[in-house]
Amino acid sequence: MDTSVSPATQTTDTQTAQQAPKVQARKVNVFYGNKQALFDVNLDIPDRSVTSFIGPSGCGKSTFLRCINRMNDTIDICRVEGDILLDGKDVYARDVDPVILRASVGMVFQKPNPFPKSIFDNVAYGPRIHGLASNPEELSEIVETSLRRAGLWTEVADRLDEPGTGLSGGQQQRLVIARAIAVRPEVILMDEPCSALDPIATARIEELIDDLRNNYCIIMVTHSMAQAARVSQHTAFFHLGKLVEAGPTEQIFTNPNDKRTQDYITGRFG
Amino acid sequence: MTEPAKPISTKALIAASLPRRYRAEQRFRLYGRAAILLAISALALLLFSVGSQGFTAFSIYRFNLPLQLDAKLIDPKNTADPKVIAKGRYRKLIQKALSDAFPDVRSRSDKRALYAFSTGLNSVELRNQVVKNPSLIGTKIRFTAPLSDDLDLYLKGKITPRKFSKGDGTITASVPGPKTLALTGQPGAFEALIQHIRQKRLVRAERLEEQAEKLRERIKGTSKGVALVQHTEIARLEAQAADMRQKAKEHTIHLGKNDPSILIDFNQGFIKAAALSDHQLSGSVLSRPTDMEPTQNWRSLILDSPERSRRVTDKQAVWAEALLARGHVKRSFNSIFFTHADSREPELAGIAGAMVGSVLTLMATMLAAVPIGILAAIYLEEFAPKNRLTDFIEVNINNLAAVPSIIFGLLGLAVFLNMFHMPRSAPIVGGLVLALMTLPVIIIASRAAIKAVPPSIREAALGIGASKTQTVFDHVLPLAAPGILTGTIIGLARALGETAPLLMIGMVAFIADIPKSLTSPATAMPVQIYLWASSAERSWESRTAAAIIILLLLMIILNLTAVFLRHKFERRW
Repeated sequence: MDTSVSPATQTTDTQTAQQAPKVQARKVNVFYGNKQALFDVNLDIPDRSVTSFIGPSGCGKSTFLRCINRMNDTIDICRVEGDILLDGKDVYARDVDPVILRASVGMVFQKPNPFPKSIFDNVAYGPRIHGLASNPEELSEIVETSLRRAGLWTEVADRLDEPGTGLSGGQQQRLVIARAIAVRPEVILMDEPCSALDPIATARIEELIDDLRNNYCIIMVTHSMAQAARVSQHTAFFHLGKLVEAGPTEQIFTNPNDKRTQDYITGRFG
Repeated sequence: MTEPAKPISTKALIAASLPRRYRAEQRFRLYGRAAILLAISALALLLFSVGSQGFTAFSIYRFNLPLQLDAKLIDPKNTADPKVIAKGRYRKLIQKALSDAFPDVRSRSDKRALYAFSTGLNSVELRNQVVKNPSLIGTKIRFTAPLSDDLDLYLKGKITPRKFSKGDGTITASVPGPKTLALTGQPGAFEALIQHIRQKRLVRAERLEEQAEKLRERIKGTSKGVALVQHTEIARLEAQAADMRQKAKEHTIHLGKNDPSILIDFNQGFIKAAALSDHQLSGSVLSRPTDMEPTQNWRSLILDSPERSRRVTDKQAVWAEALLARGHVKRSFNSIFFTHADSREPELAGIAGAMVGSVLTLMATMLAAVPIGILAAIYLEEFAPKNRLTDFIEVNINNLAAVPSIIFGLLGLAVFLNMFHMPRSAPIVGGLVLALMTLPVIIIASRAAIKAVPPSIREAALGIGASKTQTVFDHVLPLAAPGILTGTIIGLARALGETAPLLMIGMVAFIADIPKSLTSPATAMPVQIYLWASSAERSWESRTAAAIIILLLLMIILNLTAVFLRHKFERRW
């Protein structure tokens, strides 16, 4: 994020929405075999803020999220049309290697999925395979910084060699976030990061997300309306594979333009 | 649909069906227990029959005799040349040692029967000892070698039970002629022996009558010509039976060729009874008593199977008993079985050659099948596109796992031996053939293990920018390892027990040396079992069973290793 300071962020515009967007989607269509999952999605996602995707189950918000770091590549029958631009560069272009892309677009999943290795190795794995540390001291430093940023350091500092799978659910999720941070991404995708956690752990993760917003572009899928309202600055509402409405969270929740948005937010369907 | 006249509550409905449900459950449990019981009893039966037979092969009777290493028979010109020494007449030396033990054995036929105590191959052992240590020539050594297999079986009671019984009262001897002896005891001294013979004769008469009866049944309705022939046969059988019954009543029993042998141990000699009555017995001397004094310490030995229908004569039995009594024959652990390769003589045959052959073969199998199998499984599961071709390959791999193993043997014969001209009977070829057979099993097990790794692990690794290969080798493979290992070991255990493919590539040959390399001729344990099982001599029976026990033990060890490794490396996520 240090290298990619766009001119827009240096302008004195107070409205973040008017800065050059970090991620842009242009006419994105996604198909699973013959079934179309996303229809003509156009969306700008700003840097250094939290954008949440809301909508009923099966509306395509997770699918869209997984397009951004090309996780959908692993599904054989999935086909993506249209452009998704990261800093103005198409992530689906021929010369973009998904390995490099995923190093700069981290991802946190719905269920905490630490590797069945030690806490240290969990965080160190990314830096190790990418060669981010030239010696063991540097590696420990990266691990420590990442764990500190994820707010987990004080809890695990004295048991780094214990298995990551032995932590509680909320700790595991923060470990996974630390693991994502360790490879210095610019964007962090979160697919319902709190849906498997209890309210206290959820609150901690939400705090963490709020902290991380200063340095990263965070995109989050959530089923909790309250969470979207609490954490995110921007909200996009998906319905039946279409992007219905996107804008500042305050406006979406208080004064939506579309009737469907209003119905969903007020709990009439979904 | 008609509504029921009176609405029945859900609870009542459930309650009504409950007994039936519980009965079904109990029935199912019963079936399960019955199935397990059946399986366990089948296993117990197998283990018992193999164990009881094979147990006797783990011990062997060895003779231990003083042997004069006569220089005249080894190195008459005193050359001290190893070549000359190696050509010495060692068989003659062993034979001399045996006749020295029984100086009163004189006739040629008796000597030949005595020399049968030691197989000719024992001379090789003696030669090796002398060649290694030429200073022994001219000295007296104690030579130990396994007793010939028939006598070993006799002493183990496997040819016919050795029924000893302590004699009653004092008996005195008189010598009516050369080589015969008459014994007189107190009244009733030989009553038990007479009763035994009478019993046996009656049983034999009954058996003859049964045979005649069966024949009579069979000729009903056959043509007259055939019936006539059969009638004479029936008449013969019935006459024999009547004769037997008559003989059973005799006051003085004259022992015939169909009767058990009765041997009387009298003053360290043995007399074979020819005629006996209540307190008198006469017979031939098989081994001379030390003196003719009356004695209370006499024994009788009954060998139920008649002399002409067994491989050990009464004389040989008596000599064996004498050697045993003198301590020149002792039963000890059969180390030969574990250190020797196959042999024509059962007493010198061992399982070591086959074991080494099996280990070498299995090594070749492992080296070939494990890497190929695991890598193929990884490619198919993680990298290969899912399309018709991979479906076709998958179906074929599953089919290959069910192909009869002999087909792989034929393939090995056609490809490895005929096309590539690899050596016959070699562990490397056997290993490759078994590898072909094991490959599908390893691939299927490894694919299942890889498939069982949760996709979240793959997503996690891919999500931080690991490449596909890094994901597979850093995360998927370690998690799948226990399953892969288990499948592999089970596949290898199957290969260890496989016979048919090895027959096709010539590993069924008689190999008397322990194989030294992957290309030297060898045989494998199951093939060795097959070879021994089809050998005629009785001694092979127990050795076959013993080899089966060892093979089973190896299998159990392999399978336990699989279980142990699975538990050790199993990780939860």
